[in-house]
Formats: sequence, C-alpha cells, structure tokens
Amino acid sequence: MKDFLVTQFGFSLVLAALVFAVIQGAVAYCIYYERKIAAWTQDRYGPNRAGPLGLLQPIADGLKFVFKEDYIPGHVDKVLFVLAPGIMFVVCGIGFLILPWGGQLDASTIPWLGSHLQPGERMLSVQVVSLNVGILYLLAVMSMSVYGVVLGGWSSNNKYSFYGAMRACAQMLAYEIPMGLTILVVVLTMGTLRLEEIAAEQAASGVWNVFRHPLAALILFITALAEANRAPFDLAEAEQELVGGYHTEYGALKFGLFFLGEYASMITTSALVVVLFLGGWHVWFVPALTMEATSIWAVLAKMTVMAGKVAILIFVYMWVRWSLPRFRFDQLMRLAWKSLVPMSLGLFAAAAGLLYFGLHRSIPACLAVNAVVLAGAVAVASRGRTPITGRQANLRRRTDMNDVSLAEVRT
Amino acid sequence: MTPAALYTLYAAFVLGGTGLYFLLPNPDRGKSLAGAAVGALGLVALIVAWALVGEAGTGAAFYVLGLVALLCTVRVITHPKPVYSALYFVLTVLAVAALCVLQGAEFLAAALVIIYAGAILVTYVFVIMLAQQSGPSSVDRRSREPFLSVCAGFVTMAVITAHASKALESNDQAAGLTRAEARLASVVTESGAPAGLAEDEAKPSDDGANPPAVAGNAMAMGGAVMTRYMVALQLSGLLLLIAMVGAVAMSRKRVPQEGAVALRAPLGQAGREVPPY
Repeated sequence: MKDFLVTQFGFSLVLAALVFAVIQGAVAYCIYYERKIAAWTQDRYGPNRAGPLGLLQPIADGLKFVFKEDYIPGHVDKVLFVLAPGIMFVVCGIGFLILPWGGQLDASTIPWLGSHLQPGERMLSVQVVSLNVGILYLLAVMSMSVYGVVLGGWSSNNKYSFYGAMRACAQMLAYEIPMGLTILVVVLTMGTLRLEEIAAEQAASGVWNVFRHPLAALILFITALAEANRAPFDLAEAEQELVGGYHTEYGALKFGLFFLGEYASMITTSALVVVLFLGGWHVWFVPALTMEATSIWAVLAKMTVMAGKVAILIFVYMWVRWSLPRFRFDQLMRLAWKSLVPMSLGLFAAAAGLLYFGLHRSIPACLAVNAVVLAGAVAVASRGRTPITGRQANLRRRTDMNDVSLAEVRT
Repeated sequence: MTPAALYTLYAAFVLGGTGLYFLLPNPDRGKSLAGAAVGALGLVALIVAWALVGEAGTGAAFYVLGLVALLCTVRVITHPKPVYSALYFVLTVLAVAALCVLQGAEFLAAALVIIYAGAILVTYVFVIMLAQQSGPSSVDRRSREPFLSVCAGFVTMAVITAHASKALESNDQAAGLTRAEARLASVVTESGAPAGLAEDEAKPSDDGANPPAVAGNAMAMGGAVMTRYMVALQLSGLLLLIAMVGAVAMSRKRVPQEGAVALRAPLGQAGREVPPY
C-alpha cells in the first residue's frame, strides 16, 4: 500500500481525488468571490453575515441546495430532466484530469511514503493522466458539456428554457471554432499536443506563449468566456429576458449541479489558458519554480502558483462580468463568425507559415504576424460602417419600416 | 475463422435482423416484446460468435463497449422520439470512441467525439428541437420500408463480414500492432516523416517519466494524411466547400419587407407576424 501510493497510478488516483475535492470547494468559494467582486464593483459590502467576512456563506448556500425539496415539475421530460445536470457534473468532473498542475515530482522527497526510495529513482508526473492526444481530450470533453445545457432546456418543456438552450447551442458551436484554431496555433508553435510538455517548454525557455501570440491568447480568453457561458456571453441564462434560461425549471441540488458545472468549467478553461499561454506553474527568477526543482515542496509551490494564476484569471472573468453589458444575439454571432473566426484562421495560417520557415519560436516574427493579423482585422472593420457590435447594416430600423408601411396603407 | 464461429455469426445476423424488423416502430403493431426477445437471442449468438473468434477483443471492456454500441445503435433507429434517437447516437459514438481507445487509436477517438458527438450531433439535436415544437410527427412513429432496410442492412453486413473474415485469416499480429496502425507506421517510414515532424521527433523528451510519443498516432495520422492520402484529403475538403457554397446559395432568401400585410391582417391575427426588426 505504501509503495502503491508512490507509483504513478496510485499517485494519479490520489491527485484526481484531491483535485476533484479542491475544485468542488473552490467552486463554492468562487461564488463567494463572485458576490464579493460584484459588491466591490457596485460599491456595496457583499455577503458579510455568515461567519467572519461572510466566509461561511458558501457553506450555508451549499447546505441549502442539498436540503431543499428536490422537485420535478409535472410537464417535463423526466429522464432527460434528471440526466442533464448529471451530464454537466460528469463533464466538469473529468475535464481537469489532463491538466498539468506542477511538473515532475521526485517520489523520494515525499515524507514517510517515499522514504525507501533513492533520490531521482522514481519521477512522478503531477498530472492525473498523460495522453498523447493531450489537448484534444479536453476539447472533446468540453464539447460534450453543451448537451447538459441543451437537454436541460429542452426537457423543461418551457419556452424560456428552450430559448436558453437554443442560444447556448448556437453559441457553443460558433465559439468552439476560434477556440480550436487558437489552440492549434499553440500546438504548431510548441510541436506537441501534450499539455505538460507545453508547460514545461515555456518554463524551460522562460518565454510564455502570450509573448509570442498575444492576439491568440486574447481570442482564446474570449472564447473561454463564451464556452463557460459567462457574461458578456451569458445569453443562455439571461435573467432579464429568459427568467433563468435553460435552468428556469430547476431547483435544489439539480440547479446546484448546473451551478457547479458553470464554475468548474470556468476553472478548467482558465487553467487551460494558463497552461497554454501563461507558462503554467512557471514564474521567473524563483529557483523553486524551474524544471529542475522536483522536491515535494517545489511541487507544492508550483501548484500554488498555478492555482494563483487561475484565481487571477477567474478574477478577470468576474471583473468582465460586472463591467460589460450582455451582447445581443446577432452581435454574438457576428463577433464569432465575422471577426474571431477569420482572425484565428489568419493566425493559424500564419503560424503554419512561420513553422515552414522555422521561425515559429522567434518572438519578433510571431509578434509581427500577430500585428499583421490585427492590423488586417482593424482595416477591414474600419471599412465597414459600424463596429462589429453595432447594428447590422442590412437590417432596417423598425421605425423606418413602420413609416413605409403606414405610407403604403394610406395610398 | 472456424465454421462454428461463422455459422453462429450467421445465426446472430438472422436473429438480429428479424428482431430488428419487429422492433422498428409501427403504430399498427404496438410494442413488440417478441421482437425484443428475438433480438436478444441474436445478441447472445453474437456474443458466442465473438467468443469463438476469440482474438478480436481485448477482454471484458471490449464486450461491454461493443454491446453498448450495438444496443444504442438499435435504439437510434427504433426509438419513436427523434431527440432520444439523436442521444442514443451520441452514446454510440462515445462507445465506438472508447473502442478506438482500446485499440490504441486515441487520435481517432478524440476526433470522433469532437466532430460527431460535439459538433454534428449537436446540430442534429438543434434541428430536431426546432422542428419538433408541436409534438412528434406521424412520420416518426412509423418506420418507412422496414423490410427493405433490414435487407439492405444484411447486404452491408455481408460485405463487411467478408472483408473482416479475410482480414482475420491473414492476421499477423507479430508486432502487437493492429493492422491499421502497422499500415500507418509503414506509410510514415516509407515516405520519410515531413520536415517539421522529423525535427520534433529528434528533439529528446526532457522528462523521463513520460515516454516520448514514438509514432504517436496523431503524428502517424498526420503523416499518412499529408502524404499517401493527400489527394483524397484535398478532394474531401473541396467537396465540403462545394456543399457549403450550395447550402448558402439555397438558404439565402430575400426577406420580403412588407409591413403593410401585417397591418391589413384580420383582427386577431394582427401582430402575429412580426417583421424582422
């Protein structure tokens, strides 16, 4: 048993359980974090009654979800109604398995468990599984999460839920394309699909991918917001228009699972952005955060750094949510298809070209390519009469139309 | 393949086909328990045939996933509700992807899930949900030409089984690779890996614990697609482009902007037709 825990398989099991538990806890505190940030943005106090600084609030909320009556309305499709939150939960529970949390761990430095091993005898990878398709696994898992939303909305048998599901479906399909293309830009630059190698190479060279492809990083962040159904892309739940969107009919623990799914996918997508573009667990000039540092303490430091970067990104998610208004649906679609897809296609083609000339690791060449793509996009946009988020040119104003029709009626 | 296995397989097909014929939705007949029983017998025969062939599977996981895939496929065509059909299709795709993983074809598995389950079937579900707002249509409750389609299924199965049994006879698993992978590996080594790939393979992996992806199947697939199957790849890309242009051409309609019609509509109908913006 003692030896089993320091084999890769046993360690992976422990790590999976640990990360899963931490993510569940982090989700609860993400909600607290979100409410506090909302409060600061709006110059309020936020939750401050349960416990010191309101820190017990998430626990109270969680208990409320568990103990409320688990009600299933009579008009729903029962099987799918129950299945949908389950899908959401499973998807959010298996997505993080591929993420590298802390490079390599020398098993001999683990107190007590690794005491019988020689230094360097057994190296463990601080990652639950290492697949050779790496990032494709994460894309596959994330593409399944749309079923949770769509089935939840459809099975509720309610027009508002249904609209939410339709919106989520179209949105996720549209935003998966630029997301995949920007991820491919990183894959071309790094020459591997394995996330742990992408992180390790950024740490080894000290050059994070965001310094090579800032535009791709920005596009990936925007699509990550959309994939996690976060504002300004939260059209699927849009309280002001659709009551609660796809989870209008849900309550108690099933609603809690949807909530959990949303926040867990925020954590997973921001961890993905951190690994692909922000150097994973690496920070400059800290000896504990290099490839060579493999002791248990160094690994714990790396995991802390990674978690810190994820927390910063989640703060940005929330900051965006409480600062920007929601897109209208046609704006959302145009942003995806007319701006993000062409730009990410351009970046992808340019990255392939750089790879052909062997310049894919050169920072000036990559930055120049990003600048060219951005300049092209700005040039095209400035030729159009309205910004991409404005009113579509070929749609006539309702008032104009009324004038025309009234005139026609009079004649 | 031994004659015993072959005849068991035939029996499985006949039983399965008969069961399927009775299971296909038909409002005159109602739910057919007999059909389900015959189909279940067919499944048992199929399992026996699998066991007799022996080497095709890799243990219990293969049988479980194979059964899941088969049963879900049957439900795809026999379920009267289209949304459920599409969901069973998703389950089939997932089971097949898992079978691919068992065979070491991880790239294929990931591509299957991303493209079929993640994109195409989401679109199906989208369309079905949009189209089914006024309840299921009568077309969904009666399958069209069940007998002919079962026969067509037989012919397809015959072709596939003939090829599979030939492949089983000439099966040489000396290297422990599946045939497809051996072929892919040979393609890559024959043609020499493309420049970018060669560079990456030459680069030593900096960590010892994770073995470097030697002939990792993403790389092998990439090599094969960009060398031996280049023309096919380009042609299928062109075909998709043509289909896309066709779809845009067909769906693009001029919206008649006549607000006057809505105003002249009879009382009670006014305001039902909202002009776009």
